[in-house]
Amino acid sequence: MAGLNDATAGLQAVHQNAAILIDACLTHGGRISEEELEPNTLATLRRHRLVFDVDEDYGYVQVSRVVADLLHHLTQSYKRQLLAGAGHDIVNDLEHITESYRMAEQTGSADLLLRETEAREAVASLIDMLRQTILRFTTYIHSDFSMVSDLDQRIHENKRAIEDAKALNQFFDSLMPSYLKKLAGRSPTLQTLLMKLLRRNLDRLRADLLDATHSLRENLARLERDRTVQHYSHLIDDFYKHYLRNPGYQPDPSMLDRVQTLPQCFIPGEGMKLQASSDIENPAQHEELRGLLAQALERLAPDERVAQEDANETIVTVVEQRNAVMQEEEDPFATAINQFFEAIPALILQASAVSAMDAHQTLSVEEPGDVWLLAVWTRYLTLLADRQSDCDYIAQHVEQVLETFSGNREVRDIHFRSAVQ
Amino acid sequence: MSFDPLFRGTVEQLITGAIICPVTEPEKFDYLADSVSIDKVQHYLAQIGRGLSCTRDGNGYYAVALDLDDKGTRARIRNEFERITGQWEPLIRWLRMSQQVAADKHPIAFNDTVSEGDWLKTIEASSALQEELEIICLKMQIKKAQDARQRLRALFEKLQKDGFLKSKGPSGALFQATARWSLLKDQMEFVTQQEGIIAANNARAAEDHQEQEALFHGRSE
Repeated sequence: MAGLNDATAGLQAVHQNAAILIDACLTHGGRISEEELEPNTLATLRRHRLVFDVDEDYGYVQVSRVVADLLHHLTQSYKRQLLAGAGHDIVNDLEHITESYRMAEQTGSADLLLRETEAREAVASLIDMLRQTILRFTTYIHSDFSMVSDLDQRIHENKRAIEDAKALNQFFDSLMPSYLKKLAGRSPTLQTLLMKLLRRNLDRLRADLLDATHSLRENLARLERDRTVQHYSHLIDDFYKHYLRNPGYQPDPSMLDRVQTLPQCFIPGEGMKLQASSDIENPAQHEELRGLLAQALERLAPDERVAQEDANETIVTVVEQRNAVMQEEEDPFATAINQFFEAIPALILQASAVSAMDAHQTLSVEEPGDVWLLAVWTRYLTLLADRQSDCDYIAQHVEQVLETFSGNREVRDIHFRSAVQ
Repeated sequence: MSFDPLFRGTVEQLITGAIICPVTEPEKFDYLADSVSIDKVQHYLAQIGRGLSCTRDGNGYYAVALDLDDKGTRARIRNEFERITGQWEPLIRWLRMSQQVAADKHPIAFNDTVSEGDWLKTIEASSALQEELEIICLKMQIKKAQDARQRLRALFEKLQKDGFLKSKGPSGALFQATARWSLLKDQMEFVTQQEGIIAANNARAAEDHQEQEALFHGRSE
């Protein structure tokens, strides 16, 4: 009954001073300034062991860890727990309780039920502690360590969480089945409690811990990548702003003289050009070169060589000549006509008449004489039309009357004479 | 001693001044990842006055000069520094543009895949990006391109020729970033430190802030 009364009074004290305790735990790391408290309030908190004095000269009282844990549990705002310490304390308690239980079981003690209750409570406490700790890791991962804003701080917290997970993993290692079996001994009750209930929970929690550790490592890699990218982005932005503020800026090469050790990124080895060429002028090399050439040709398979030769033969090179000017050779007949008319002014000075048929023969025109005469007469008429009255010579038909066709005359020749007579 | 074609190919690549990375030469990069092979290569290079170095992110190997006391070497290094850094402004503008164009808003880095089609789509949708592209082409002395498509194509070709990108796939419009970007980043970090660029920018930003505050509060100097 005394215990019950103490518990009731204690909880009432917590309830009455809830605001002070919450503010201290969540904001001030569990510290309460003595000057801020009424003497009666301070006395009540001390009496129910809700606070304790760290040092008489400190000026603060510290909220009891049990109360702080309760508040952090309620608000899911765990600070770092001394995992190994907390876990080992519970396990030490469990060892003591199971030993006491085995003794009570052997002697048929009246405390057997009490020890069984204590054992169940210890196991439940251990399971709960481990579950809450692993839950904390999961919370960190889902929140991306957002309780801190700086990227470096997040990386720091992530690394610490990974270390905590490693420590917890080692703690799990210490609770091997062989160890639990030793604790349980021959007691059926303890065997059920430790080898079934506790062990089943440990297996499940261990799997959760492995998942959480894996996620923490992935998260850390992602945060470190983000930090690298952030640093790189800042580097680029700084340079960009520098170029904007200093147009035409170029880094000063004299900085290389100021440093004690040159950075390797700026001391590249002079690139060597690797080339090889055979001395084809040297007759001593000819035989070897012929041999190399023959080998190179032999590497081509016969059918490939034939195909290549076929390809060479059938390849048609298309040359684009859309805008090209093509010279077409003048028709020999037209050339003869032009030559004759170019020669007429000179010929009429030397002869009284220049015969078109003589020119036909001289120029070796292939076309028949009547075609020649027709073309000459057409050209003459065209010249007359172009020059109008300005022509140095005149042309006359040389005609012959056709006997059988009355009134018809055949033009046998065309004579050109000087127009000045 | 038996002939090792991978050793020969790796050494030849290094002494011609190339960067070996998983994008450009995956086999040779894996060869250098082996401690025995890397020792062999370093030993050989040392005999011709060269060493083997790696980008800070470990993604690219390149040969470096060892004899830094030689006057000719120092002069060449200085000339090379001027040549390299003289081309930085358009490259940095390009990097900045890549932050705006990329889906993840990250600047181009080693191993990133770059799609000419995606870039063109984003650039054509923004007049600011088109203007920036024009400035980049001007500073890279690409003159013949008339529109965004031609400019982008010319830039990708230039970056490929300079070893920053490698063509991927048969289409010719997909590229992968090489470790040349990693080397550029290392170089930029060195210059930033030496020139005090970050401090200068912060000081200037603080001055600008004070001026703006003075204007806001109606104070004048």
